[in-house]
Amino acid sequence: MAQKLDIDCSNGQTKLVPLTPAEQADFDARNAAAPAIEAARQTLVANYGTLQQRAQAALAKNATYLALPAPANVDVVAQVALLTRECTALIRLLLNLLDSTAGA
Amino acid sequence: MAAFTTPVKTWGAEVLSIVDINTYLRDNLQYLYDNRVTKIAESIAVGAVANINFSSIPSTYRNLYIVLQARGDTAATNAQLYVQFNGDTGNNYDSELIDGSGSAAWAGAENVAFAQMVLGIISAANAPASVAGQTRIDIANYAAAVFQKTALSRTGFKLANSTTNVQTGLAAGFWRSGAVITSILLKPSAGNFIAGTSAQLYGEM
Repeated sequence: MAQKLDIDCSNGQTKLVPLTPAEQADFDARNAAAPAIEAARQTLVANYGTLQQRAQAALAKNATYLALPAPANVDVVAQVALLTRECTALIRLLLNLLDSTAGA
Repeated sequence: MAAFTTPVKTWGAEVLSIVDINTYLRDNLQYLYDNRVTKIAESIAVGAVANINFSSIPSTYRNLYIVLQARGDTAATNAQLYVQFNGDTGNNYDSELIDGSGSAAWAGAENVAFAQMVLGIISAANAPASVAGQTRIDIANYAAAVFQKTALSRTGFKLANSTTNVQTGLAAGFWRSGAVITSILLKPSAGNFIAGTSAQLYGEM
């Protein structure tokens, strides 16, 4: 059974006491949920990093398009698709929708 | 009472008068006493503990603050720091925590009607060895039964020795009660605080 460190501020004494049944149940529930929470958090962090890398790469791609003296239709179509993905990525970052990178 | 600025006197050339003693020593000592910060209690965990609880907090101060340096044992790089007042485990807490790293500010995490306030983040088992998180929590007017209770915190933690993994955050917490705070419970979102975790409770007059 897990323990609680109780610090009595009236006399400065500390003691280790077992968790109450309710506290133990709360402790067990939090521990049971922890792996899924950590996995979800790691997904968010990874997706955040992915979107940041794509944003960095988008700067170069946009510059390449803008440097075209006379974009062909195929270039325009490709750039529209690229801009759509960039907008989706920005929306995901703006709204903190980092559970996925779909559409970005 | 305001403090007096003690005039510079040349050593050996003058003698302290009773006015000097009363004004610059007695009254300034009284000023310091009236505005003192007192360490109410502290503890350093000698083994793993699930919770740290400050109990029987005297109501003789104006504000409280907690300084916590902690590391958790859950199998993750970090754990959130949960805080409850007076043993209230109901969904009576609201809090907002934001943190950032590098040049990026992460979006905040809002917890409305939760069973605890989320007021910080601590490093955990998968963070670099011996790294702990640090959090300071300020609690204003904890002994005045007027407003519902509030808390503000600053937190810093490290997930890894690499870019974007050194982070800092700010949090605000609200307890839907105006009761005088007599106990404060700290616990990680999962697992235990490990040995060496230290917590101090201070009172400001």
